[in-house]
Amino acid sequence: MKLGESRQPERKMRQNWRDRIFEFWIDLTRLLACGGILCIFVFLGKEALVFLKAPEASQSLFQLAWFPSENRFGIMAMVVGSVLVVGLSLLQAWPIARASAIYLGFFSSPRTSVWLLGSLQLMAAIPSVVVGLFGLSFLLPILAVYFPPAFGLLVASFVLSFVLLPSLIINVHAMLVIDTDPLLEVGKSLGISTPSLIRKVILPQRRRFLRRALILGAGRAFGETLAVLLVAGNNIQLPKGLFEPFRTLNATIALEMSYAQGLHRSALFFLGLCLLLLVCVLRFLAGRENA
Amino acid sequence: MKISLYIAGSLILWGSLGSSAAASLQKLTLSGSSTLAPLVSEIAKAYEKNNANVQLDVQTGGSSKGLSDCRDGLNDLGMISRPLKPEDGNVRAVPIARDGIAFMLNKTNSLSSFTGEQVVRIFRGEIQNWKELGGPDQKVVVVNKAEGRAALELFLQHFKLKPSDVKASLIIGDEEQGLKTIASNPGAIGYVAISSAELASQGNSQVKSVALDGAIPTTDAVLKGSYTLVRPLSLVQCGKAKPAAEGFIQFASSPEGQKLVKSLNYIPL
Amino acid sequence: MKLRLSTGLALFYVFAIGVAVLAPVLLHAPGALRLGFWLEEPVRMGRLGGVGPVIYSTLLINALTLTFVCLLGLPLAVGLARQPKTSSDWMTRWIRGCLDLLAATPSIVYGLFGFAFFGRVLGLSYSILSGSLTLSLMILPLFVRLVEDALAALDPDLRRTARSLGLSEWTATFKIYMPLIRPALLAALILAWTRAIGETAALLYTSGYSLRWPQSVFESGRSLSVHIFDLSLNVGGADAQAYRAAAVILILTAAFSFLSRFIIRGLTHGKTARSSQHNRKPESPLW
Repeated sequence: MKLGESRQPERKMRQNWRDRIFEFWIDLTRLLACGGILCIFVFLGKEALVFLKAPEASQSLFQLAWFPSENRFGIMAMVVGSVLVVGLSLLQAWPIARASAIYLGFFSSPRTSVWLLGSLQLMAAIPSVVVGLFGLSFLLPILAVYFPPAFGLLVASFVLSFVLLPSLIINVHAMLVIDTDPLLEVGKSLGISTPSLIRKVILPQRRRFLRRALILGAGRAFGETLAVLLVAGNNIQLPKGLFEPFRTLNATIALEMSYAQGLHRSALFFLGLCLLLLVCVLRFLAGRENA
Repeated sequence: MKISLYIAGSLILWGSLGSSAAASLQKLTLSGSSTLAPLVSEIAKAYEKNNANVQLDVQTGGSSKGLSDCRDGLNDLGMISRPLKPEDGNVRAVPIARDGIAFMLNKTNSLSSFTGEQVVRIFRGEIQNWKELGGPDQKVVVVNKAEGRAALELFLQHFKLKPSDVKASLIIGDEEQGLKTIASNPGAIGYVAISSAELASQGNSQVKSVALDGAIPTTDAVLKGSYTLVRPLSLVQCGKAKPAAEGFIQFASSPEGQKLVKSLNYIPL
Repeated sequence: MKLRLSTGLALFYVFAIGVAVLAPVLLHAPGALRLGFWLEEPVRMGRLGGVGPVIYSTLLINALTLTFVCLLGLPLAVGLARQPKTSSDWMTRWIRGCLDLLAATPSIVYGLFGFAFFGRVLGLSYSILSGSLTLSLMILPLFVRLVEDALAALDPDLRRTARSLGLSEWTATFKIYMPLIRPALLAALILAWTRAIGETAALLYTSGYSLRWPQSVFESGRSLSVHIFDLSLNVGGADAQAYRAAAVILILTAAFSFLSRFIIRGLTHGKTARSSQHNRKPESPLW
């Protein structure tokens, strides 16, 4: 393996000791990152192996019923649940996050932006269980009167979107404002209004980074457990409506891991692998990053 | 960078100095059931007061973790909230407290008692509306525990049901999540630990417990033996116990320990 | 003006919901302002008393985590960003892809991994060190991708100029690129902090549940988020205490966001000509 990428002119330049250490450090972190990543995959794979080898796995895997104590391990309902809730929450969160970031970056006065961003940081630090409790203790009692039991996709995706929003806005805002001052100044001197400058120049130029922010957000959404668990209802079934309970893959891991043994425990690790697979598919669908 | 390095460096230095000073301590690790963990933490605090050279680290993670850690030698004592099963192998379980499960309704529901047979019909999904039992015109929302949980196993065993027999619409994990779920749904029925149920009905919570076959689920009813839906909460120990671990088990089951159990809203032996 | 209005409305929506979500936390904030709450130990399983040891553990965990994340994440991001995008370097592409995957791994899986690897294989057992190593592994993908994207968003001419001036990689990175991406660095650092302080499942199995004042980083200590989780979902009648602990998280985060400005300054070696000229955008509250 080639350590360091550049046998290029810059490398041949005179390097001081700081540079050498820095290069070494970069290479070291890459090795560590590779090692760490590999470790996690090996760990997941090893734990899931018992399940993958068991005959029960292939028989019931693509069914809906999940009753580990009766050796039925259907994951499809949970896969659908995970995908739906993440999709719906991103549909809510993304336009709002993008718009809020634009406002913060280009329309509000610097002083206001400072305070608004600061408050967003505070919101981002709130443990997701608090957001879940808001849904459980305040939203659901109201909705349960009209749409019992009300636990389900609508509330779950709303709660999840709010878990995502603060950090998503901070992220998108950071991507939008980097090094845009020269652009704004040029635009101003050419007499282009700020809105059209944003629409025609800045957003298209930053599209790739916005998409990356979206992928990171989606990753966060797939990984989020507790907030969704509290308001999803967690019954394992295909959700037939917005107010029908459903279960996500991670909710199953969180709910059952503490009491699972043997095959059941291994199956839960397999669910973790499924989640990674889902994200793989998502990344593939989002297009190659270099494109 | 410099600053954070400096802070972290001094913290680590400080930290390692601290650890060398505390070397003479006997350290015990306990892990397992999340139901027991808060209680055992408090008992441990009391035990440490009497035995200054022992330090107890209480960790949570669930009954099966308590058992598997115990078998792998990762803890000195495990905590489990269910009876031992034959497949658990050669471990010793010492009950230190008990817990029953109580059926809970939303406060808006006018019903206040069920027979065992009614409970089975409700959880099988044969009763769709509370009207059928003389309650309000409200859809029944069955709240069940997640697969594998100790309370679920006790419930299924007591009513001779299979996991797939229960037609639940909501599934919950921890006790307080269950109570909050029932509180947020007028038609809900679920079951939680009696200790949690009693605490919740003392407060201004939106839930109430219901009698089962005429027996009201309270600590006193369990102590008298009139309420039978009960499970033991035990410490488990594999292999040879450290003397300190043995001492802790004895302390927990002593009258002094049991008084602590009762004062923390758990049911003593 | 239409764009301004609609984007403003979006932000207003976020804050309106934010206030609603935070209402119970803010209502209990006065209780969290009591000095005793910050110093005392929890009593009766956390239903009474303060959260002193919990705050201390949280600070230890977060300081260690952020240090690890910076030490590992910054060079990794620099290394990934300077790679030409069309590169055939399989390692870079592999790391990028895997980081995206890891960003989506549920935190409970990290917790189990941390327990198995740091706790058992490395013999750290339940300890603050094990918890912060697990956390930094969890936060690393987010941090690296943010910084890397920010570096990649810089004008390519800048890199060429730096090269033609014969600047060393170290100088170019820390004197030119980093100051320019300060907003993103700050965002990355603060997002790392917020994820660290809000994380529950990854810490439950690694840094643990113990309510003691940790004597060293090799001992177990409960973090604020684990405490909140336990009080709101496991221990009955402790909701008020849970919300107070959440208020403490808000206060700590505000303090960190103030402190982060100095950390970033240190990280980027003060101001440079270009950044002071152009970067008049607000980068941090109370900047």
